[in-house]
Amino acid sequence: MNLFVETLGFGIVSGCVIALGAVGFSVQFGISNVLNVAYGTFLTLAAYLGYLLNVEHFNQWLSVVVVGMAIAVLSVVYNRLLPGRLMRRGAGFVTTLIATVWAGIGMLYVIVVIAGPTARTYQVDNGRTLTFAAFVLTTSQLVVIGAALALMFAYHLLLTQTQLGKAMRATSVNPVVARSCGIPVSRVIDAAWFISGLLCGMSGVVLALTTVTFGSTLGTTFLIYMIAAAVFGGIGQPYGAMVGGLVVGLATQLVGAYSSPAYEDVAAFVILTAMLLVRPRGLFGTAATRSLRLAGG
Amino acid sequence: MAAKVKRLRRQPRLTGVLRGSIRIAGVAAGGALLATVTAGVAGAGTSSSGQYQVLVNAPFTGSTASLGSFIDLPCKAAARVIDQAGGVLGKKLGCTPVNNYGDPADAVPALERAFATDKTLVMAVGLDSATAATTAPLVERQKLPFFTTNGLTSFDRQTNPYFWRMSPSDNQNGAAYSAAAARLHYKKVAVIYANNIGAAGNIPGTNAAAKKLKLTITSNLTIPGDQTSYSSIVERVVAGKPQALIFYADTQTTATFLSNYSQLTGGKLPPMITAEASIAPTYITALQKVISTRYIEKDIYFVGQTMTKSQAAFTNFSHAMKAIGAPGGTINGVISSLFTGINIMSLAIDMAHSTKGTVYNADILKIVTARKGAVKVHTYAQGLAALKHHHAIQYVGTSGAIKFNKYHNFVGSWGVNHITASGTPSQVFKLAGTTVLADAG
Repeated sequence: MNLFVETLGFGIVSGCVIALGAVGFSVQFGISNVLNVAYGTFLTLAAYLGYLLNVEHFNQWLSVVVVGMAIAVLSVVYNRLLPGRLMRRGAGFVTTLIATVWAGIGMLYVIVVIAGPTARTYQVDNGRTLTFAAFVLTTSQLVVIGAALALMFAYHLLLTQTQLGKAMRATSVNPVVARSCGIPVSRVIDAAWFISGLLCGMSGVVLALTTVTFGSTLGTTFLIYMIAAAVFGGIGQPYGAMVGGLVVGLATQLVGAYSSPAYEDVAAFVILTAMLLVRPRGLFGTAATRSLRLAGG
Repeated sequence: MAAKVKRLRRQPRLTGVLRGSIRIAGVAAGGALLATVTAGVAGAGTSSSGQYQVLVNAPFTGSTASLGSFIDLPCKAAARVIDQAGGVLGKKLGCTPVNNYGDPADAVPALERAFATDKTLVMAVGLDSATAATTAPLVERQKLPFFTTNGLTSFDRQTNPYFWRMSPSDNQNGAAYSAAAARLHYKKVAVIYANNIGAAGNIPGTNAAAKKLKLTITSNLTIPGDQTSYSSIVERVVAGKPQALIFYADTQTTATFLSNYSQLTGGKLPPMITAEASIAPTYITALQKVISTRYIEKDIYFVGQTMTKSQAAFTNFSHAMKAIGAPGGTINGVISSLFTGINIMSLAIDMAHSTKGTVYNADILKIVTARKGAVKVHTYAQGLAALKHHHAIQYVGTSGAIKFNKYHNFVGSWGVNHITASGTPSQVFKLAGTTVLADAG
């Protein structure tokens, strides 16, 4: 029983890290209809930027925010230069997707040329190990859980309680109608890419803080989990991505605890495949409008 | 009419589902494509020019890129000492890295391209466990002698005449870890290996030797690499109360695992027995950030091929490695076997007066075999000088006299070492090769 409860705790931590990135990935798609596979490269870039601050003994949590902001700005620039431009010129979904794949590869090569092929290790302050109700977590892991939940709640408030949120939902439903209603669609899309970049940057650093050691394949490795989480919950749906992240995190940890750890990944993808077979639109997916998808309703 | 209307009504829904499926497939395909292609991204070995080239086949990019980064080093070190001694047949030796991406599917075209375009290749080294089964036959087809460090057990009784290996197979190494644990008087050990071909190949040997040596295995786990957390696995391991860990994984996985272990046990880690071969250039610095330096220096036992430090061969090797800026931890048995291999092949070329593999391959055995009247040499320079005076030579490398069996494998003895934070190894004890091979079954 203890092992089960402890594993739940570890699964929640893993799930929160995955969910953070999965929500960002989902937001990009939900608002701009772009499946940005270069997202993984931005995760890697965030980890390296975080590392640069880490070696300078920058506060690890402050570096999460700073790198998040930097990636947010880069994300907007990237969208304006590539996916957004392609979409404006009438490129289709698949064309844009392929463009993001190759942009991701190109940027990753640049990162590797600069950073080198060897793994980097963060100097991490995990804080104290706390035990309560059979949960064994460090204060650092509690901060990760708290921050992830707070960010997701903040995103919920943004979507449901603010003018920007309403504008984002309207844009996602029909950009043409939104524009004719006076909504500055291009600015709204910029805002969406900024928010998703922020989440991406933050999750990249949190990922590296969690794994401690990382290499250039960090983003690509975890993008697969994030895609799994996003698809599980219903791609384009932030709440779905949150739940998907937790499911993937819990599944991998439970399999690690009770079966051969070598099958952790397999378990996550078996669940994903089963979900797609039973409910291809994902857990939260409906035939409803994209605004509902965004609002999670 | 009603049926037609029904059909028309259904059409958009079907299209919507189809579009959704295409998008999901698109995400999966895009992700997989990026994963596949970018798995290969991580820098590359640098070639050094020479009139004769050594093909260095290793993963220079991707998740096992750290392996390539130190397989490249012994070639550069050997090329340096060979050139300083006057070169091979009077010509400079260089290293040509050929990336195998750690994946046979990528390794084959990369090798074929190298063979088609580079006619200066005279020997090869590398061919790691992940790709050797596929790449060794390709190199054999080119009739190119090669020294490998791959640990595949299938090569223990191989018949490829151009294949030479001076490092133990994974099965034998696995047995050495159990033998080391028994020698350290541990009775209960947890066995944890990464689920890659290089690490997991040790499991049968470890288990067989543990059984013979009456060790109790409290946990026997293969773990996936590069996860966010190994906490649940650590919990299982801790529950078994092992006295020591037999552990082998890449740097990234090791650091995360030990970090989780330390968190969950309040910093109390059992001693760890691991492969010397796992010491990538960043290994020590990575571990230093997650566990204490004292633990690294006193409680980790690195098991690898032993090296005879008193001999000129070791001095020659370690000086050459330092001269090219190799990290301290890379001066080990596995790396030295490639350095020695290049020296031996180069001397064989000098002896045969030919760079053709078909001609000089037979001389490799002559160069290492003890013969009446043969001059013992420990370096390329000594060997070349002796050959110039028309002496027969016996090359004695860092691990002592080399005795290849009929399958072109040579297993010396194992050294169990501590390593300082600066990467300097110090031997704790030695394990006789014959004893370990008997334990391996």
